[in-house]
Amino acid sequence: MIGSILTLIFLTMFIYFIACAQAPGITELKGKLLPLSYGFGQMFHISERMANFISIPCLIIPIVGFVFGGSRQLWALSNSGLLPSVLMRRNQDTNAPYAALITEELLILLAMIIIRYGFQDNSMILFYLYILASASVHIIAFITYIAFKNKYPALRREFVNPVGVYGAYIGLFIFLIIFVSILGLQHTKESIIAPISIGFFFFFGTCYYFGYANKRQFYSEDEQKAFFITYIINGKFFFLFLFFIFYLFFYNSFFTKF
Amino acid sequence: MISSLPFSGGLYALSRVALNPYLGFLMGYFEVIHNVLIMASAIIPLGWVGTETFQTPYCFEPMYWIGILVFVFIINAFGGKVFWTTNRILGIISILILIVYFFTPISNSIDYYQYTQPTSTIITTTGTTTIATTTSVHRSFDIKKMFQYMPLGIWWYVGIELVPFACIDTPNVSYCFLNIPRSHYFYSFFSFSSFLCSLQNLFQSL
Repeated sequence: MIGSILTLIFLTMFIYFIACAQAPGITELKGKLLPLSYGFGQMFHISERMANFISIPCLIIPIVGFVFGGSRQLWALSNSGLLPSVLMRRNQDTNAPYAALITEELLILLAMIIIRYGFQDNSMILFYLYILASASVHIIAFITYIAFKNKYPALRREFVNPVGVYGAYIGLFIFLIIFVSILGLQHTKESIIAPISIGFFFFFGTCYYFGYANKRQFYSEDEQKAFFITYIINGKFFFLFLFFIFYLFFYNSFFTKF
Repeated sequence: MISSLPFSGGLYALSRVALNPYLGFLMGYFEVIHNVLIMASAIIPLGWVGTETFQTPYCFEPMYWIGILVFVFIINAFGGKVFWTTNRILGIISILILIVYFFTPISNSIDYYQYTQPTSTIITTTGTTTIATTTSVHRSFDIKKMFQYMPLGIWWYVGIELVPFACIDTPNVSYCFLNIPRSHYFYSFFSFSSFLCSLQNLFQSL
C-alpha cells in the first residue's frame, strides 16, 4: 500500500510537469478528455485519434476498482439491515457479492441515462453532485473521528495520527468550505440544480430510513465487535457488554443448531 | 479509526457506533450516491471517446457504456484470484504506459515556461480570411475564482475510503489496517505539497 502510494506520487508529479511543458500548452490541455494522446501521437507518428487507444487500460482500471468498492458498500449496508437482504447474497468461494454488483451496475446505468439524456451540460451537474455527496461523507467522517476521540480517548490503536484531533478539525473546515462554495458561491445554472438534487436525495433517504430501514436495521457482526471494544476501553456500560456477550452467544448457538 | 476498530464494512459502520444510527445511514447512503455518480462521470466520457475513435453515430454511446459495464461485471463476479490478477495486469500496463509517456519529450519539444502560460485566442474574420490571434493572459489573484476551483481539490481524496473494502480478501487483516493509515500519511504530504504549489502561484500573482 505504501509502495503503491509512493509510485502514484512520483508518476503524478512527473506526468504533471511533462504534460504541461509540451505542446499544445495548458490552455488546450485542460479541455481535453485524454490529455496524453497528443504526446503519444507525436512519439509514434500516429494520429491523435489512434493514440486514444493507448490510454484505454488507464481509463478502465478505476472503473473496476470503484464498482468493486461500490458493490461491497451495498453489501455492507444490507448486512446491517439498511438495505433489502437480497443484496447479502454472495459467492461463497470468492466472496463476490453478485446481487450487490448487479444492483450497483444498474444504478450506474440508470444515472448515466438520466444525466446524459436529461440535462444539457451534464458533466458540470455530475461534478457538483458527486462533490456535494463526497463532502457530506467526509464531514460526517471527521465528526465521527472527533466523537471517537472525545468519547474513547484511551482506545488502543496500531497507528496513531501524529496531527491528532486538530487534523480532523482542519479537514472538517476544508470540506465545509467546499460544501459552502458549491452551495453559495458558484453562480451557474448547474450549481443550482446540484444542491436541489442533493436536497431531494437527503429527503428521500430520510423518508426511507424512518419509514423502512429504522425498524429493520441491526448491528452486523463487525459492528458488534466494535461495540465491545469501545465499551471495554471505557469501563462503562459493563452490563450492556455482558448482555451483548450473552446475546451473541445465544444468537450464534441458536443459528448453528438449526 | 481504521487501525483501532478494523472493519471491512465501511466507514458508515463506525459512524453508526460513534454518533447515531441515522447519521451512520446517511453516511453510507451518500457514499453509495457518490460511488454511482463518480462512475457515471467516468463512463459517459468513455462513450464520447469511443464515438470519436471508432467514428460511430452518437446514438451508439450507450453500447460503449454497456460493453464497459459487462467487462467490469465479469471481472468482479469472478472475484478472488481472477479479479486481483486482472487488476494487477491492468495496473502494470497502466504504469508502463505512463512510463512510456516520460519519453515523449524526445520527439516533442518541451518548454515549461512557454506552454504553462495561460493564453486566450481571439478569432477575427475579415471578408473571407479568418485570423486567430493568441495572446498570453496575465495571471491575477481572484478570491471568487479560488472558491470556484476549490472543489477540484476533492480529487485528492476520491477513492481512498474504498480501500478498507479490499481487506476482506487479505489473510493478514491487522497488517492491512496498519498499512492503510500509514500510506494515507504519505498521501497527505502529497496533498500538502500541491497546496504549497498553489500558494506559490498565489504569491507570484500578487
